[in-house]
Amino acid sequence: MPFPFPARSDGETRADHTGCSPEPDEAVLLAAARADPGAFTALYQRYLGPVYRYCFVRLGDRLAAEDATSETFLKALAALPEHREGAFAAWLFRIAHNTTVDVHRRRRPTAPLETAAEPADPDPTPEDLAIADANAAILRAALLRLSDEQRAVIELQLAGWSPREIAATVGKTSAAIKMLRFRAISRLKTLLATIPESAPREAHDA
Amino acid sequence: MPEHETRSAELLHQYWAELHADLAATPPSELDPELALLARSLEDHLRPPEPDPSFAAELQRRLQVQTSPTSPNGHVARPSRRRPRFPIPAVRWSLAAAAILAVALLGAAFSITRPKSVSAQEIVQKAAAASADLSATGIRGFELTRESSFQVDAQCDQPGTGTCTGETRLEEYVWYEAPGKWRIELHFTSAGGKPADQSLTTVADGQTIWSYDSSTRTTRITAGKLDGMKQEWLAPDGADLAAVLKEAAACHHPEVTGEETVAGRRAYVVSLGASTCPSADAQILNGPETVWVDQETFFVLKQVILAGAGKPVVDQETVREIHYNPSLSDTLFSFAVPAGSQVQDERFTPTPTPAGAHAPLTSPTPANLAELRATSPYPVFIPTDLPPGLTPEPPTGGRITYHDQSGAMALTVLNGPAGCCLATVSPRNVGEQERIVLPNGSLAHYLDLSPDVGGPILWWNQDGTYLAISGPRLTKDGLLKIAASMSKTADLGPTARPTTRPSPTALPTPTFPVLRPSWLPEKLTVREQVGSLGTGVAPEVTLTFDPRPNDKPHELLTLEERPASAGSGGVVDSQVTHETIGGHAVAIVHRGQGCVSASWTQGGLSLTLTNPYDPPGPPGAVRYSCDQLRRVIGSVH
Repeated sequence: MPFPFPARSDGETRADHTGCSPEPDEAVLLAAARADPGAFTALYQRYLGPVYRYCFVRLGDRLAAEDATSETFLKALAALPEHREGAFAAWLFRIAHNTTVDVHRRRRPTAPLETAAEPADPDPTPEDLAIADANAAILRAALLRLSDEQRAVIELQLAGWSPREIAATVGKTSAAIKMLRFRAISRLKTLLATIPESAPREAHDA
Repeated sequence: MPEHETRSAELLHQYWAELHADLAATPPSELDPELALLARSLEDHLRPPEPDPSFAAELQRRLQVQTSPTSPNGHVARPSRRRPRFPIPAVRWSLAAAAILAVALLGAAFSITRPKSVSAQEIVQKAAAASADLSATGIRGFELTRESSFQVDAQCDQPGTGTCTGETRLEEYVWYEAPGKWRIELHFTSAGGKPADQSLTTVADGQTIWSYDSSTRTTRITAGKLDGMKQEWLAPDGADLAAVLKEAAACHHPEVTGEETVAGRRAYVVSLGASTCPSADAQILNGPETVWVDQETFFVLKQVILAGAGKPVVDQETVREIHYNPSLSDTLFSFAVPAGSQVQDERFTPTPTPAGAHAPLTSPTPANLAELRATSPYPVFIPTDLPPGLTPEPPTGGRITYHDQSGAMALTVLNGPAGCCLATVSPRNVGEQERIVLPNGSLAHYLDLSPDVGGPILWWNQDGTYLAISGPRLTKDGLLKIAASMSKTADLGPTARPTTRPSPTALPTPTFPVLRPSWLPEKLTVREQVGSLGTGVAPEVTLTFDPRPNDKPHELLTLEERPASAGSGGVVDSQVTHETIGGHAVAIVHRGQGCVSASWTQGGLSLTLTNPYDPPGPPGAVRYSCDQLRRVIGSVH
């Protein structure tokens, strides 16, 4: 890296989800990237995981998540000179969100019969896999019934974004995020209770 | 807000943080156990994986290319030097290419007279030039033997240990005669740290290339020739080593540290140091590098790469013996396919055409079921209990289609190898399934799909065959009845293709009046699509507005509409403004000077207008101005 970065001095760390030690302030990284596009790498390395995980939660597919992640960072890089204010994470999240929305639009609602072929997960049995995937499908369907705000909080949580990042992205305080998440889970509980045969099933040994 | 709710929210927050680290975390006793279970279920089923390291590295490389056409030091970034992650057979190509490189470098700038004293940069440049164009070196031929060892994965983290794990070792024997005759024999003695006994032989006579792999006993034959450093024939996945050497002068700080004798040849010892424009794809090769360059021919006789300063060797290639312009037998450049080996002849052989006429095409004869069963490695099933009025069509591979009296496709039966397709796929995009045990004991999966996407599907494995049946107008009970009648011995009977097909199924109609803009910022082709984001989710209508409908796919101005009761809440963004447009409260999301999206409620619908990143101007800007978006919004009715 072309610039030596000072360590954070405010005592706040990002170790809650990323497990990383204190890192340079985002504003410093952003300024460095604007001055030298080659320094965008630091931002990329910091946000690749959160963006990818968010895209995966939204799209549920590794390849689609990779495509969406690539598209997000390429757009962000191209638009970086235009980004003037506001949290970079929130801005990046919006790009990722819009990108996943576009993917949803382009997608067929279901996979064609003969094109649905992927290598099997070698660990569980096909039946366990089917059950696990059925549970995942049920949960995803229920998530879609939440409001955009509630769903965003859950998706960002699953993607491993820290509470501070979620708060900055959604534009609320940390306390409001906690309450929003609690209400989202409560709403999910209600939704799942009303969907026929919707309770996640446990796998049984043969 | 109620105190207990605040307390519960805090407990959930703490528990979820623990869940993220450990799925077995114990929930607080005060937290609603159903909420705790749900949080755990979400983490268990929906937690995403980390990005694949190879994907991450590739994307970083793409971004770096976008931002740094030159390296931070102002030099051209080092090209990719990918090493295969696993040894044989992927390794053979890059190693064979390395052999070619070494051979080509040996022929570089051959001269009887000893060259004058040269600088380190000049040595590297001459070596690079020799590797790029063997024909200009004056070398008419050579034969050499070389020993190589390398690490595929970096297992050399302990400095001073002198050893690495996962090493691959091989011996190489190479013969060359200009202009395009090669014989390269690679013998592996270890692969990934384990003993190996495999050979790869490549022979080129100037017109044909034979490649034989003893591990698979396969001979691949291709047309073409190996011209100097056109190594793509041998290194389709490897590095362009000529380019690497060419860039070495820019990405290293060469220094002549001495002279040594290698394979009986006096060589400059040139220390290149670590790369200043490291490769993201082959990070193991970014460490300090030293090359031994023939003082007369500028051929690289030896190369050593360390994992890092003071760390073990990760790559070493040493020529043991070399002879320039020997007399070589023609038999060296001919290849006899070993008895019993499988031959993959990829040479194109055009069909001879009679003079003055085109050769007639043979009429494709539909395969019948008997022929299909005779050649299929798995049993081929057909139903014996069908809805009335269905006629089978000639099988196409393992697919048998039935049409009704109108010619419309009514039933599809797909046979495949057991465990394929939907039987093992993670059906994340397929929606909710139902598990059903068939009368024969097979476990089947049922998915209810709408007719416009083929209708419901039932799939299962039976007697070594994957079976899937579907039909746009079939019910679950109908599919189950068909499934129970599947037979691997029954005859299909007469088959026929329908003379006509009925008109396409009408597009689904939305369940609400669609709102449309009456003003658009430019000439645009409009498309409307009715769809759903998933089972049980309210349908939505998407209008797209395309300025270049015949162009390759690109972002479009999009208007999404769905019932306001479907759960689309407020806009989540920190850069949103609220305006009143056309009497409606509109939330507009901004980025810089651009308006990227706008959302509002109108006529009982939630609408979102998205501005595409498809500008006619500079990249990264949305296409339409905020005022243009406002005018579109105001015209929606």
